[in-house]
Amino acid sequence: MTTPGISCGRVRRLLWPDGGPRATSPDLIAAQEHLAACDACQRFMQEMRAQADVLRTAALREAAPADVRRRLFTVVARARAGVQPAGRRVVPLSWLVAAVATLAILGGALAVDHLWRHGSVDSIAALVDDHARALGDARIASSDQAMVSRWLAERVHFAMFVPALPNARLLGARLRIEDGRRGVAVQYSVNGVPVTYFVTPDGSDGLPPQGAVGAMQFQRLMRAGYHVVAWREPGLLHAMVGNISESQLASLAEACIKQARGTVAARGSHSQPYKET
Amino acid sequence: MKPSTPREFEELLSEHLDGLYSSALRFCAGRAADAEDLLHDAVFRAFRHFDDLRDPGAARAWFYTILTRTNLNRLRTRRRRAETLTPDLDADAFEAALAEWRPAQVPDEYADRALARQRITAAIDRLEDDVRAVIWLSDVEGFRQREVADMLDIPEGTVASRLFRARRTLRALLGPGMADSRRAENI
Repeated sequence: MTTPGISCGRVRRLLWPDGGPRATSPDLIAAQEHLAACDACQRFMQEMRAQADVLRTAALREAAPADVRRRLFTVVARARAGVQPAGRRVVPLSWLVAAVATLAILGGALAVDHLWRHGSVDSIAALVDDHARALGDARIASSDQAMVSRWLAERVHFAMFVPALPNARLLGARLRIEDGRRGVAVQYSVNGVPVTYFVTPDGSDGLPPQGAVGAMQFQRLMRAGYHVVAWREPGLLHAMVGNISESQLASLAEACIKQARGTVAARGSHSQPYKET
Repeated sequence: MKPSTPREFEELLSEHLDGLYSSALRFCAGRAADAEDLLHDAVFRAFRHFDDLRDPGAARAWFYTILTRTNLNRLRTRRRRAETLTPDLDADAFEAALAEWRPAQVPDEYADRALARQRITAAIDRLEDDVRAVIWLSDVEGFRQREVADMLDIPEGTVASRLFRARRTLRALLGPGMADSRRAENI
């Protein structure tokens, strides 16, 4: 169908794909008027939306295999330590030998002295990270609460409770490394919106938790467009992060705390964030 | 806001790695070894330019831009050796193609969900490189037309015409039933 002055093809070109709000122009207004009256163009727009939906939901999205992850993080660790990835750079052998010899003689003593004196340079941190990452797969994809709990229990040094959050679907969990210490990120989907529950060893060990025991105090923050609800217990920092409302996040956090305390109470134990060693 | 520690690079990479891997896999038409190679190059490049990332909240688009540009370099190298490409549609040809689109019937062929997944992914892999990247970034990864245009360094109109070409080819490969989102919803 064609309304005076504008064809179906032009209407579709002006209105599809939907790039969000745009400046109003006479052409755009004419196209929208045409669309409102043209069955063929309406069906075109519907079909385009439907195709996008099909692709989004049906296209295979393979997770990075564990060995690929490991190799990639090794690349990063090597890059941080100043080592080029193998096979990426062709260097004349004579230059390489001379450079290595020079560096070994001039830099070696200084570097060793620096390492022993200061003990915490980036390359050492990279080794520690590499070691921590290599101790097993860095992620599990499962909606089985017990399976995720077991997986985490084998990999972190604190008692990790995986809550069943209301109206949230458990997707899995992954490890995160910070200053050589392992933390956990448990991933959920709340009505299709990703929400992550982080538990990480707290740098402020020994400090009392915020708020009184039994009335955990939340810190509510906004970072990079995401809501964050965080709380502390001795030795651990907890945080819920996601692009849902702050009150929803706080509800999830409350449910998390309630369930965790229920579990501890059921075991007849007091709150003990770290496992006995 | 600038990332505060080098360690954040790995944190951000870890967060986006699955998406980057699946995108690399599609950019390489399902060839896992090529995808890993592409990802290695992109990650190494990202690490070297991490200082350019001012806002960790923009990390996803930043990683995808680097992956996409690294892939473009790879394709350019390959094209210098051989290969011809279908030219992009000009405005008139694009409008004519849009006008020719006829609404689809909805057959029952996507009832088999696993088969649908495999067929759709295989069909995406059969698309030409330039249109495959556009449809993957737009429809699967959900980037907006403007963002895809920036990643691929092409005009927004070219993104639209490539997206249309991709959809038209997919419909030809899969049949019109791919338009029925309700059937694929639970795939």
